Amino acid sequence: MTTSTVAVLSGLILLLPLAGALLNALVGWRLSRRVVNAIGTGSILAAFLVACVMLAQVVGAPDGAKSASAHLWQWLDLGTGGLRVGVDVTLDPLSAVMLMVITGVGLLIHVYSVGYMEHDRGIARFFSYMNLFIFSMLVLVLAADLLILIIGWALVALSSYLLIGFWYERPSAVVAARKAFITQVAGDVALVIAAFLIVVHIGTLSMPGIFAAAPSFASGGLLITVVCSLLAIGAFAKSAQFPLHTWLPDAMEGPTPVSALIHAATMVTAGVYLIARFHPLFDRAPVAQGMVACVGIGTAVMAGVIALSQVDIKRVIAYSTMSQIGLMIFAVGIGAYSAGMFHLATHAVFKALLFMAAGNVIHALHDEQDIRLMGGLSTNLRRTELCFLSGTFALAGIPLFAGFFSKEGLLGFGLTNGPGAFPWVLYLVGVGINVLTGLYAFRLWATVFRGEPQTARVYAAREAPRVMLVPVAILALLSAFLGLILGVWSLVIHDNFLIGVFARFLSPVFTTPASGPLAVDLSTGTAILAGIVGTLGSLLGAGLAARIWLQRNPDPSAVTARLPRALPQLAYNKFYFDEIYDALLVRPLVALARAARRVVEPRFMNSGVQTVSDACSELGAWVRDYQTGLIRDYASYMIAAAGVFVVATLVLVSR
Amino acid sequence: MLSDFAPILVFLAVCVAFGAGVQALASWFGPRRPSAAKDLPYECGIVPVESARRRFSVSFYVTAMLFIIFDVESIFLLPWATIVRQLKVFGVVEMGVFIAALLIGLIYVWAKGALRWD
Amino acid sequence: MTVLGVLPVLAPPPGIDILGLLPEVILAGGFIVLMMLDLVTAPAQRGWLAVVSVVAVAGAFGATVWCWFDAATPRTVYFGAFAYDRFGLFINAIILVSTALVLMITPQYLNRRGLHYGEYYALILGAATGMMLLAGAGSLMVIFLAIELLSIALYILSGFNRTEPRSQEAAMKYLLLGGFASGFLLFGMALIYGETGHTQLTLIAAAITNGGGTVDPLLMAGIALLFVGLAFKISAAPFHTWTPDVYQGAPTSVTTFMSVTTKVAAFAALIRVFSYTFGEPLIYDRWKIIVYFVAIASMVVGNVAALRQTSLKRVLGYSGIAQGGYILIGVVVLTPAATWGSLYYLASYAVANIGAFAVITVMANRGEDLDSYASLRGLAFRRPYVAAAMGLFLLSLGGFPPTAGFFAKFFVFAAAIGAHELPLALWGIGTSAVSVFYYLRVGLLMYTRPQPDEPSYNWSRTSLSGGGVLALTAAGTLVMGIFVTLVLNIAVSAQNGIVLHG
Repeated sequence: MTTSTVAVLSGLILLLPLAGALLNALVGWRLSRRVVNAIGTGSILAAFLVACVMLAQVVGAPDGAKSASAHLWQWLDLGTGGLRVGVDVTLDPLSAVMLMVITGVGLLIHVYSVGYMEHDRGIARFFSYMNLFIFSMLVLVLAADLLILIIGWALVALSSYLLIGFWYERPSAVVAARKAFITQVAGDVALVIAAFLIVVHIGTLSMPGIFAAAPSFASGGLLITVVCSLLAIGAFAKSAQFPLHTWLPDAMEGPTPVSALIHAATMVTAGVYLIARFHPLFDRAPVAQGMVACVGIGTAVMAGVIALSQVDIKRVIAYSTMSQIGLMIFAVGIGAYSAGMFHLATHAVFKALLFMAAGNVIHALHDEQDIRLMGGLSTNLRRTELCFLSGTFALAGIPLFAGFFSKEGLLGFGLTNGPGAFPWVLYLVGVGINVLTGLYAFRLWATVFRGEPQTARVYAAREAPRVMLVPVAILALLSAFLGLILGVWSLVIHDNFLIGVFARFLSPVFTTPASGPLAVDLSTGTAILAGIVGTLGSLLGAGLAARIWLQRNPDPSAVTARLPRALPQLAYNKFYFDEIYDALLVRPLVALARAARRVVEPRFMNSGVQTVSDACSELGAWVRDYQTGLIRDYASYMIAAAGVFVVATLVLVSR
Repeated sequence: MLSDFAPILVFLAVCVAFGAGVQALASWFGPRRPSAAKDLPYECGIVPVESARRRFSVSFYVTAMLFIIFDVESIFLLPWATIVRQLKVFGVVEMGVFIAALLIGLIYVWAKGALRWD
Repeated sequence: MTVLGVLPVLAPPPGIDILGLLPEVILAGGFIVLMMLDLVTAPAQRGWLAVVSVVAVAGAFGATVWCWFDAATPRTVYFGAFAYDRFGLFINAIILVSTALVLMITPQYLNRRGLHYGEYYALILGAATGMMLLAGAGSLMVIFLAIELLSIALYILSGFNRTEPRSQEAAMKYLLLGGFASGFLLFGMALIYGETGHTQLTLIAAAITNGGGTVDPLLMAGIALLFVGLAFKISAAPFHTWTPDVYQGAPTSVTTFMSVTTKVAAFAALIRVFSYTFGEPLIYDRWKIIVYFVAIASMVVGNVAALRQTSLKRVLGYSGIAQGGYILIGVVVLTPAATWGSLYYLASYAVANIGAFAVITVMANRGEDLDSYASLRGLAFRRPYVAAAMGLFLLSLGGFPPTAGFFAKFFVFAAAIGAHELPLALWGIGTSAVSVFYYLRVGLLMYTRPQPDEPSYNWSRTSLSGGGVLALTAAGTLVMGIFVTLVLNIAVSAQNGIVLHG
């Protein structure tokens, strides 16, 4: 794996989606739908093939040489001592995994979009945005310079904004897009401040340079804690973690493929990637790590409870996404980076699957999203249901499905590595989340596909066309067997029984000279114990869900209704976060703005900002008055100025 | 260095003083008897026939400009002639190029009709 | 070593190096050939003259590239009258590329205006030759001659639209005020010569250094007057007054040409004379205050006056005045970073400004230019690519990333801060904030849907060459913002290569 290979391959994989985006943006409107589709999906297919080659490069590289950086070009160079920003890329196991997830799942979702967006007139715009998103995401994961990473980070937010607001005639979509973007920007600001602190302390933004200089931060010191907390806040905004999570459910206003690609599989997991990538810093900031772990597990519980109470099919899946990402964040917060990354990968598969299957349902019911009006879809949507079921099993962590391996592997580390004096507390919470997950996952499946049809529309539902079924089926197979294959493989090479292969593959990234070998390695006994308890929790949840909702007329709020009345109310209203933010942030700001307009503006602004603006304008008019158009005036200005200059040089500065 | 300019300053002062002095002396000592004939523009003693502010044919300017261009050419030849021996053949070729360029200019203005009077 | 050296009798005496002037000689040759061709070409066929002139420009550009590698060690040629260095060649390259781009949009525009006069192309090449001579001028006399050569050509070109009174007025204003400015320039030169006894820049610098720590008042007066003459050419306030009137009156293709190339060439002379010849601290302390004032005045006057304009050509004229103010920061600050910052700025300004004026030229119909704000309204819906390109140019002129203009401003301001001239940078940043208003207003107009009952402007169709110019300039604006070091390295090497000693 030479530097030039990496440069060529990364250049290719970046250029392909960018070219697709530009092509569709510039000339898409005069091309036929077929050509637009071909450009949109073809560019991602090509990128996926390149990603496969890149993965092969990493796998084939000898141990100790699994990571290679390439310098594409120097972006900025202010000489010695000045800031230098290179457009550098790193190909290592971590970025290879991300590349496979982004382009692989991305490819299937693009193919699916061809069917889903069949009747939409803005198809060229759609594919242009989608390709732009893939490009931005690739920039984010390949970047070897923090500034370039931030550019990718911001571009991702931009394309997400464009895609959530894709149907811009809908006011709700525009509002949701704006909300998502503003929240993202809050995270961007934190990230930029972190970058600023890093460059002030270390003097470089190059990521290998930062990681090499990580020991220069006092371990557990204030600076590193602040930097890592800021990085974490950036990650929280992107990954929809408490308290920056409220945008994700609203983002479901976008087309369903967008939800599958951006708000399930890739963008929202970028926060997990960021923390994993910056682990040399996080390893030195235990306080920040503990904060990350607690926020992750807290978000997971909260989102799980909300998911149980929602009745919109996409929102249920959105909250489940939030909950699962909470688990990943928890994992990277306790230092179980490869476990977190493995869950990221499997989650991308089964969550994209669930969204796309849900998209089939919505498509078949002509944009109906309320699960109370579904039920009994299994007769007409037999294949979709099978796929959906595969995703549900994986999500709930039923043994031998992909989610089982990743989730149990992740939770196992919580038993020993949790923060604080009682590390196992968070593990127990995690088992509770398993129960919750089983409950909401099977609740969704049962109320949508089982029981009696709740509306007449269900009878008229038609199975989705092949172009929408095949990608879903591929993902269904993956979510059923991916974990199993890797698990058996791990057994064969005699490793930790759950995620050994994956962890071994990623270990070069997470074992750096700076941080030393990670202390995260469970004994087989602990792992088995943790796995069994966790699995029992998942099965308990699934079983309960089957008992409650597998009936002719299931009541989606069956569980929550039995609780004291306050709780279901709270959960249904998403713990009133929107209202709280409204009361705490939006209203005071609006009130402040009003007050400002009433009091400050007439009194101070008119003599301040407004005056500046008026003064500029007045000055402009004044200058224009001197622009008489008469040569004699112009000549006299010149004489006057020349005279003043001569006098000034002669008299004023004669020292 | 500045003192090098002293003669110029003196010269300037003398010029201004002389000009102003002559004017002043004339206005002090000269008699003042204005008449209509004296206010007429002086045209070599001939009575003017019309206003001096009439338009001239633009051809005058063109001819004058062309004259200056070729005048400058001949001025340029003089210093060259003093060192042509030092420049050897190169100098002759150089001046040939220069004159050729001017010749082309002449052909151009000729073809454009700038030398035609009407 | 020269080609002519092969023939022993023709060997030029030492001190004369024709290769040092190769690009200028090629362009001057093209100028003469075009004059002759004009005589034998029918009016309708004169579009072909544009092709010939582009070929001449390309030849000169090739020679410039060759010279760039040849001039690794800078030297002066023609007895010190001319500097053969990468600094001048960098400016040459900008001028030649700009000239070629202007020539590509010209024939279509002249046809629409019915101006089938072949002198146009010859005059453009003549002006470009003057500009290149100015960029490499190593002596006060060459500076004056070069300025006259380019000015006379531009006076004629400004009045090229013979039937249009505005064009005539522009030419007359430019001629009279230009002559006036030349007077200042010559007077300044005379005083400098009188004080130092030299016209050659390197010898003047040496004379000042050997002056023994005293400064003669007449030398300072000469420097101030010389600055006035050059400030007129870069249209810096308060010598800018001709700019909006002439830019508006002249045919737009000519405005495109002179708004960029004149400024670039005059800035080259300004940097060479002021930053490098008069860089002696004793002298610098005294002229700095003038340039400082002119820089701030240009930034303020240009940006503020542009706020109240309703003609796009005038807005761009004032914006050019303001941009000149930003580049002057690089003259006030003497550090190398300031010089290469200015060079980068000149390159980025050339690309974006040619692009913006090219939009006006290319969209012009038979009756009028794309000049009034009403004619801009809704452009994006009928000519989406043109509007997008225009938006890009405006963003670059306003200094937004990731365009060339952002880094240009960044380098210049950073150089000012690096040299502890924070107030200068703050003036720059403050006035660029003002400039955003009028740049974005033009952008917004293009993307505003016209009222249904509003008579819409009849935009021309983009020709192949016109579209090509827009595509090239748009690509250049982006490339210089994304692959910054590509041009930056050349600019740094140009700064390093400037001739300091005869």
